[in-house]
Amino acid sequence: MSINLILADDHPLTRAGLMAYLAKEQDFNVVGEYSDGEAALAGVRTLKPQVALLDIRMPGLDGVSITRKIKEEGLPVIALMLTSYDAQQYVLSSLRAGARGYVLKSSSADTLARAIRIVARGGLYLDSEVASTVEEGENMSPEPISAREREVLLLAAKGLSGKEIASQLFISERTVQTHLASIYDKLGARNKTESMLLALKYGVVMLEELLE
Amino acid sequence: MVYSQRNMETLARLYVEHFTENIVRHSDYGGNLTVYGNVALHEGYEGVTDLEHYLLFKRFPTFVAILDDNERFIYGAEKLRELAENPEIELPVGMAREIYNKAGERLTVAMYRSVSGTFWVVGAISWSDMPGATAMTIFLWPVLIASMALWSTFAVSNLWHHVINPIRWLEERVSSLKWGAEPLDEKPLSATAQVKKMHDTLVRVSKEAMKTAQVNRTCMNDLVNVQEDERTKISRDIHDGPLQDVTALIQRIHLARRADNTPEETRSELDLAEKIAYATVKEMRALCDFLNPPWLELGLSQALTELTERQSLQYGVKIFLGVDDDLDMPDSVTLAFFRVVQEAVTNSVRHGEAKNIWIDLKRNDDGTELTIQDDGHGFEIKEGDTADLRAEGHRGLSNMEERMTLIGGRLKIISYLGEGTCIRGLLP
Repeated sequence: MSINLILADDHPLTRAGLMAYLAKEQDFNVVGEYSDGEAALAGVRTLKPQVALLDIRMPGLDGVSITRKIKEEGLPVIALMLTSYDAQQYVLSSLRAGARGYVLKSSSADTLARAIRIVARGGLYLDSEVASTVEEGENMSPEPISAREREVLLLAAKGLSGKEIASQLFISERTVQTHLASIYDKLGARNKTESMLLALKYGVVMLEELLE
Repeated sequence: MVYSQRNMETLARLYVEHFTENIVRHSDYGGNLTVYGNVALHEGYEGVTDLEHYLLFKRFPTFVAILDDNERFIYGAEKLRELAENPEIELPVGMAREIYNKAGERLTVAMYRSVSGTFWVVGAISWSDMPGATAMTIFLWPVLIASMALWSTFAVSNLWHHVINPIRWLEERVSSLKWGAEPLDEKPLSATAQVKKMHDTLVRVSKEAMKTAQVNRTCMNDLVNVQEDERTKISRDIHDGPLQDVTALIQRIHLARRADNTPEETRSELDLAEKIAYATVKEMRALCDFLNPPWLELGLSQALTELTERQSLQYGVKIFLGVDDDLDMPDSVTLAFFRVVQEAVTNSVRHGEAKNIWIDLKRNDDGTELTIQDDGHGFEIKEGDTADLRAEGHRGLSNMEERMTLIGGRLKIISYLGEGTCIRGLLP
């Protein structure tokens, strides 16, 4: 079954490279190619591709805004973000806007193809450079986290401070810190954002839970 | 003071005693004395004594009178008649003494019996009539001292309230004042004009300090903003340029490495990768040129030639450059002129949509003069006023001005709507 795609990237050389990547895959069908956000949004609305590969930074309308519009308008299009930045905050804002994945433009053709297939199937793809993990980590399951730790993680993901989490769960702030440290340790994360991304990646939490 | 008054009293007594005794000696010719009008006849003496002449020789302020042997007034000064006829007063015989008359006048009085024993001569001086400042001073001395003391107290208290206290208050306020953060209190001081003036000056200085601090903050703010703007711009340039180029390069390398490639496909990917690598180098070189042009080292004349040729190509304008060849300037001056030209040309093209720009850099008697004239739209500017533009976020003009000021020169911008813009920089 082939996958209909559109590609939006304002830089001609990287767009050409990505097009060459996509051309190698028999089951990919690129129905639109855009160099700015407005045109890309128009393409999304009219062509309704299965997957939209969107550069985060574009003149006019950026990729995150297009993603938000897709979600708001309830279009049957899955947004997969493309970027040169590996900032985790970008990842989070894309995911909050409704993107189902995130790939660096410097990834290999295989990585891009795998990412497209995963999101097209309804999965979530997070680039390994963004959420630092070993390649085989895809199938590796981390040490299970406790129900309490999961609660702490979800509240932290919503942007609550340690103090707020403590008062909501009727535990001490110190206990919250202990739970977070344990979560980082089990997931192999170095900070809060990374622990959320890794939790998503390992399926410890669902994207929907995180975005509630 | 008391001592000197006593001295004066002694002196007055001696004087009165002396002249009264003298009159007695000269006016007594022996025998009984009979007075007719102002003439006295002595028993057994042929002559007449002109009493007026003898007794009242008008030697002011002395008073003289003659009393008969019963001490009744016969002739003389009215002042003494009053004394002689006052039963409460006993006139001092032989030794002078101070007596107050009814009017409260102070007199030094002495009475002497004539040698013949037939009459008395009374002599007196009045202290209130005493000539010269001496006597007055003696009287006024205590008053003077008292009033001096009073006046000093008044002066000291005045000095305290209107000079020392206000100065102390000023000193306290000034030393605890947060200069630049708050002004000195403007409450009116009850003080002398000079202290008030000093207060006014300090208030003004404190306000100036606030203004200066505000300017400094604005400058620091500008500096930070400029720095951040520059960083944002450089970051964006790198992101949109070299970063994308290198990403594309990696993509091509990935594509060239694919196992299912034909040899031609691999070669074609590598060719493309090479082209992208060259493009990247070119892009990065342009970025370096923009950030800090290496050809600045070639000297002002060549640097400006290089700059204007590039700008002319980049913007599609004609730039006519005239630079004296022998201009040898320090690096800082070269850089300042270079940036002014760079900014001015950019402005002419962007804001003025100029088609022709004439740039001249000449050395004349006034110094080194840079003139940049364009045929663009021009704009309204108040003479020498870039502050408003700066406030609106247009730092270009004031940046040029500051560049020139920093190297000790000045910049003038002349522009009218529809008449192009002329920028003149002079370095004396």
